[in-house]
Amino acid sequence: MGGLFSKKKSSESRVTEQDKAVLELKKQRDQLKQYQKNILTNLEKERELARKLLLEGKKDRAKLLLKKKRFQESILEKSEKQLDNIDEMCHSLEFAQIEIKVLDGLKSGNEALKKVHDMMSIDDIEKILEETREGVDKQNEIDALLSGSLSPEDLEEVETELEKIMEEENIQMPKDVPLSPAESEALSLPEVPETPLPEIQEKERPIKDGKKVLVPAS
Amino acid sequence: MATIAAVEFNSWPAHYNFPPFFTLQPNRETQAKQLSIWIQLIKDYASKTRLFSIDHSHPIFTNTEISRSLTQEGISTIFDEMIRTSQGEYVDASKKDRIFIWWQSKEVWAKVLMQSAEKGGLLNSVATIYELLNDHTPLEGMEEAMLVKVLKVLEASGKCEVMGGAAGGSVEGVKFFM
Repeated sequence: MGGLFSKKKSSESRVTEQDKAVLELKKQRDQLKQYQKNILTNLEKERELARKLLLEGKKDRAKLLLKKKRFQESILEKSEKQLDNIDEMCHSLEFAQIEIKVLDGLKSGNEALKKVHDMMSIDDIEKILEETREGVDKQNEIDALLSGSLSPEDLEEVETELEKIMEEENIQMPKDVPLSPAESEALSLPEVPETPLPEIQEKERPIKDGKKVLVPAS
Repeated sequence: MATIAAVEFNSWPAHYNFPPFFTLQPNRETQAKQLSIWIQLIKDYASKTRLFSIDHSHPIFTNTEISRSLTQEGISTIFDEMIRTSQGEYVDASKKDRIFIWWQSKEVWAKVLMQSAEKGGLLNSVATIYELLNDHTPLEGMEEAMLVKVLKVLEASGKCEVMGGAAGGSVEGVKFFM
């Protein structure tokens, strides 16, 4: 969005109030960081000093110094917590801004969708569908009219012609066409064996009055 | 202000031990050559040791080995030449005793800064000057006034907006844009 305004150096600032707030917070954060750095270097120095004092036998002073050091360490811890707080605040501020942008995006998307929907109202769709249906009906009517324009005699003639053609087809294509010699030659079947079949032992069959009798299939 | 060179500079050119190098050459052509060599040396030195500004008393202008040092006039001539070729800029134009060294042009710095902002996810958010100069950024150690100049370059192309700095106040932060 900002890209549009970047070319002309408009007086309109792209820095929002929230940005200013974030900057203030970050400045605080930087100050805390600097403060921590100071304390850390101090701590290091004081530890050295305490060691030196101990070596010199000044136990009380060393103890005092260590107390001071301990105090500074507690401050360091506190500042660490504050730093966390500030960071958190920064993040929530920045995230809230992003959320606003997302919301804006959704809003404009919604509007666009609405516009598109306005362009095709339900009434229009119904009208179009109705017209389509009418068109189909009309086409059917035309078809009916066209085929209906033939007189009954014409239709009879059509029927007879169809039958005639079918007859002709039948004549040309009889059901059993004898094979031509060439075709039967091509169709070589295995020869029938000439040797007599081995005698099959006839099973006992009920014979009545020396005549064979039909027996129901078992 | 006194930035102590953390890195030892050891690529002194051979002509650094050449006594005439420390005397401003009267011949115009020779002097032009001499100046350009001096400027190259200063820029090399500055970029290696991350020195961002230099004044007349800087040890680079004195070579104890050959006991030579450049005169004040000589140094001023070099400074003038650097400013003329936009490789330097007066820290305080009314004093003219110290200059910023652009061993990398403002435009290049601007590009470097923008790249680091993109990488660091700083786009569309606010950053403080302190943050840009201290948190191991490529511009770490740069002087604030120089950073502001770099930011102005970016601002002119719409990539950022400087915050604060109105009515003579100091620039406090910057908002980067895509």
